[in-house]
Amino acid sequence: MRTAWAIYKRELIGTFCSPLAYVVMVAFLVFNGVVFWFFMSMTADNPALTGSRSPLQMFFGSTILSVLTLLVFSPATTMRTFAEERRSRTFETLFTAPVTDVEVVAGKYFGSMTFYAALWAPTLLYALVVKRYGPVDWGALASGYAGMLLIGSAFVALGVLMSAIARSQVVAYMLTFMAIGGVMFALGLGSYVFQEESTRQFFSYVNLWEHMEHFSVGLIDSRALVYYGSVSLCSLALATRTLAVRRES
Amino acid sequence: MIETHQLTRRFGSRTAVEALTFSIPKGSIVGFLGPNGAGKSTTLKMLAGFLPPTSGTARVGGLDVVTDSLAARRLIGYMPESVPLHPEMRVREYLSFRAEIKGITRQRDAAVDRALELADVADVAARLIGELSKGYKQRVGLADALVARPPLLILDEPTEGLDPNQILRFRDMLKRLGAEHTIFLSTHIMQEVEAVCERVVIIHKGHIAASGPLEEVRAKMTGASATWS
Repeated sequence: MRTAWAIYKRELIGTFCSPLAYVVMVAFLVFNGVVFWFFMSMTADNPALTGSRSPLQMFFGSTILSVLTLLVFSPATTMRTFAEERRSRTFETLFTAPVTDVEVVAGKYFGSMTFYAALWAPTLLYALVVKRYGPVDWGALASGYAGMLLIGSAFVALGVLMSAIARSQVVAYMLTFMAIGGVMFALGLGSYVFQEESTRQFFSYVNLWEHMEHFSVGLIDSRALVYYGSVSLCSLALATRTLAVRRES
Repeated sequence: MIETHQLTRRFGSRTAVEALTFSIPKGSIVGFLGPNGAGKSTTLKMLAGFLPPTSGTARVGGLDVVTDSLAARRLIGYMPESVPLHPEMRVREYLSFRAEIKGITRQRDAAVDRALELADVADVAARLIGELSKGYKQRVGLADALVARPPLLILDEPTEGLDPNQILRFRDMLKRLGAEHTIFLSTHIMQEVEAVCERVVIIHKGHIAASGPLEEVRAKMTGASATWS
């Protein structure tokens, strides 16, 4: 536990001492700032179009933009975790210290989750902007962030796995991008494609978009909790295994 | 302190080291001598618990490096070849991190101070590692190996890339450390072994060519010293 804590702290130093972290954060805020401005002006100019939805609800759910944000930015929070250690060969000093693979993966995972949460933290200010012009549903807002953290935890775990597999940061980014876009997101599209009820239900269970929609209106579905929880745990378990296998070759 | 039995490592079809059997007594400075590509680093990586052997066993302080890996790693201070470090960290910060993952919970600052002194890097404790010269980086690597006061130091080509002055300084440091630690260091320079080691293990093309006290081995292999000098 203490070892995982030490690795977590080092991970934060490694992340926030690199210019990459700030490039990612600025790009994230510029992109989401534009998206939020777009929803705000849409609500102001054309209330009929947005119905009862607040700009914050639209920010988290409703459109494909929040999925796109996750797809593009979450791989960036994890790509350096193991790939960078391997490139700089500190992988060797790390694993010749008395540490277990589980402790290392845990430290790296929570380090990346902290970076991921730090990306989202400034968007809390958007709620203050909305509050100036109308009511804010704080419950729905909390559930929106809970959803982002939950879905993010699965994507970050996948990213840690891909970084353990990949040889370089770029490859780690691409693999995570493909795993999220090609598998997690594409699977959900099945719920719009298949007509048969049981098949449609299965795909709806793994539909990322639908989950975000639920979270954005304050609905925390236990099925989503189980789904993202299991994706996280499986990815982290595989990452632990990958580390052992990669050392043997 | 170290005992290997038929230690073998293959990478695919290539055999890096084959059937290494040697032992190193406690409290000695032992040179691991061989030309580049002889399998020195592979052997040291196996001893340090980084690379699992394909077959055979290795024990450090009586503990198997595979089945009792964590306990064995606690006995070792390992400095890999070309000393990989985190350039974005400060020297003291890095050593404190290393001490923490090596299980030093109490008096960590004192342990770090001691390692800084022993490795002669106290004057750069507050500097960023990325800004240091090669000689300093090498000694930061040594400080890392020393920080948890392990009984065994495994050093892979510790003087590689240093200038003659730095080499002499480093050798003096090793001799001083030999009083408290068993040291197993690899090198491809015979003079280095003669300067600091009491015993030697000679490896050639993945096989042990000779092993024992320096004088004995030298007598047995007259002329061999010229090979790698």
